Amino acid sequence: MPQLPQTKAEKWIGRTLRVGVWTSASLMSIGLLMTALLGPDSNPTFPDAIHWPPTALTFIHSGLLLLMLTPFLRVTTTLLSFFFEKDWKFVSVSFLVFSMLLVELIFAFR
Amino acid sequence: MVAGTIGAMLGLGGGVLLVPFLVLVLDVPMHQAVATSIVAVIATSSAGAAINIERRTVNIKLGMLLETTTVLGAIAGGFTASRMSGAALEKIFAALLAGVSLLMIYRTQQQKGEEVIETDGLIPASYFDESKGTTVTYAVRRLPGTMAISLLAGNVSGLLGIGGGIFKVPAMHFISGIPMKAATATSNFMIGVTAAASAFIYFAHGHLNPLVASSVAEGVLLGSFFGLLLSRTLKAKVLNWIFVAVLLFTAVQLSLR
Repeated sequence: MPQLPQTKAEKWIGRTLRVGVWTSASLMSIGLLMTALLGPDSNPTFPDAIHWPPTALTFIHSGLLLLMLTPFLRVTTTLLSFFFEKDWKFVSVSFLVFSMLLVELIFAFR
Repeated sequence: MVAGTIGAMLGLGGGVLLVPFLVLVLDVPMHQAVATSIVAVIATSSAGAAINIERRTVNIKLGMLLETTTVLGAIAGGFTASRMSGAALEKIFAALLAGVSLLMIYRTQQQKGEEVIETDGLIPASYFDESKGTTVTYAVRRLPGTMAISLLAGNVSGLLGIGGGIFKVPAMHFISGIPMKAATATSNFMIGVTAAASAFIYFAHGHLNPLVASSVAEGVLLGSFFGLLLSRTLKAKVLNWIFVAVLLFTAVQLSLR
């Protein structure tokens, strides 16, 4: 199909999103499959579920966490690509978004 | 899955459909439904944006500009929630959405099928429209107005478990003169960030049921791919009408809650 060529920034942002989505979807699938086969885990809350050896919920939680982190990674990639393109106006715009998200993140886990 | 399809097609997260479904049909508690829906919004957004970027319908610069006010709005969301009762908030949204859908019906009728596209303005961009077989070039006008609406959209998204696209798409289209396809794609690109801001708060507070959230996320991801396949060949006018239908549905559903 005749598409217009992508810029470098678009390529990187697209790649970040795709890797994030596919990895988290696979992790969640493993976890859900394990739950279906082995029955539900006893300990469903977040920090306790991340341990080794991994159980179904370890996979599910990591998948969910990665999914939630994907937009953050995308903003970071955007920031970096504007930086390499020396587009300072949009470096500052992205940085503003990035720092506000970081503040939210710190607040959430306090 | 249905939520994912419609969400990805319209540049929404699908949260407006998912929250009532989880609460009314699956008997999930309200706060859990909102938390689950927020995760679903992230899934639709990330999956959709990855593909829309390839199609070049996402205006990344515009998206980032609008994200500044939207994230600010999301942070202020907690403040709004503590000042107003949930019921009052829902009634206001219902009225607002009904108003927007009437405006969309009126404008779609006026346009007689052809989109009016503005070419003088900020951040010019173009994409290839497969349904028309031509390259569409457009520019962004009246940016401050759309930025103000984004602030509102960010503000409500955390409260209701929606991405806020239901406000951003009409704003981009009507205020800034952006073609529907680019407006929905850019909105879809943005809502993941808005949702991620509130997702961690729910996650950290343990409102997220991992089994429900991951099953819904997988379903929504699958649905997004269907939505994106459909949206490629969909005509802008059809997209408009589906959007109006979802707007009206949301308005009715909120006012009856």
